[in-house]
Amino acid sequence: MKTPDNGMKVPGRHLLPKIDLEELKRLKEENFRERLEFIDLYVEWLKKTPNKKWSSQQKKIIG
Amino acid sequence: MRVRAIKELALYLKETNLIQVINMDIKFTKDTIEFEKEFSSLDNFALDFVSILDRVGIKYVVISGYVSILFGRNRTSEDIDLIAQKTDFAKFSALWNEISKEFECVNASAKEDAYKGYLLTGHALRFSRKGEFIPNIEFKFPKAELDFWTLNNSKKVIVNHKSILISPLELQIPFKLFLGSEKDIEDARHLYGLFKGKINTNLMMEFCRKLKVEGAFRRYLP
Repeated sequence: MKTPDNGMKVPGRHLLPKIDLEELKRLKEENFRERLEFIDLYVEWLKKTPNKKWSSQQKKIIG
Repeated sequence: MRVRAIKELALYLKETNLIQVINMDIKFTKDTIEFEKEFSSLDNFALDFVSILDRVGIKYVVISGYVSILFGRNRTSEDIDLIAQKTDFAKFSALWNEISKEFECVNASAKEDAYKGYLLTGHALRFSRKGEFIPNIEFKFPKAELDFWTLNNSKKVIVNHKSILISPLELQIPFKLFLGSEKDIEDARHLYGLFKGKINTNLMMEFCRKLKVEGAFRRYLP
C-alpha cells in the first residue's frame, strides 16, 4: 500500500535511532520528578520573598 | 511591656489558630485568606468578572487551576472554571445584562439560549472580554453533589482589598491529584507546599480517601 510522504524520502530504517519506550517513559518520569522538586524550591522562595517582588515577576511571565 | 503584650497576643493567635501569618505575607484565618500582589491581566480578568456576580448577588466558586496561579504559580491558563448557584431566568437575565457591559459570551449569543440551551442542560457558558476569545470564564451550574458542597464551602480570598471565592484548599489539592495530569499534580504540589500546616489535614485526607488519590498524595506530596 502506498502511503503519502509529501514527496519526501523516508531514510532507511538503519539510519533512524532506536527507540526504547521504557527508557523514554523513565526519562519522562525523571523529568516530571525534577519539575516537582523545582516547584518545592520555588515555593520556598515564594515564602521568603516580598509579595510585590514575586507577583511582579509572575506578571512578567503571564502578562 | 507593650512588646511583651504583642508577643503574647501573637502567640495566642497562633496557638489558637485564629490567625496564621505565613512568610509569604499571607494572612490565613478559618474563613479568609488575605494578601497583596501585583495583579496580572489574568487576575484582573477573574476579579472583574466575579465582582459582577457579587454585584448581582449570585453565589459562585472558582475551582480551576487559577487558584494556584492566584497564589503565585508561574503558569497561565486560557480558562477559569467557575460554578455558580442555579438561578431562575430573571436573575440570570440580570446577570447577563451586567456581564454584557464588559464581557461577551463566546459560545451563545442570546440569553434565552444561554440559559435554557446551555446552563439548564448541564453545559457551560464561556465569557471573555469583548472582542477577545481567551482567556475566558467557564461558567456552569452545579451538577455533582461535590459541586454543591464546594459552592457552599468556598473560601474567601481578599487580594488587594478585592475578594474572590475559591474552592477550599482541602478539596482543591486532592481534586487536582484526581484530575491527574502533570500540570494538575504540579498545581497540587504548589498549593500544598504553600499551605501545608495551615489547612485542615483531616479534611484533606478524607477527600483523598473519597477521591481514591491517597496513593498519589503519598507519591507526589511529601
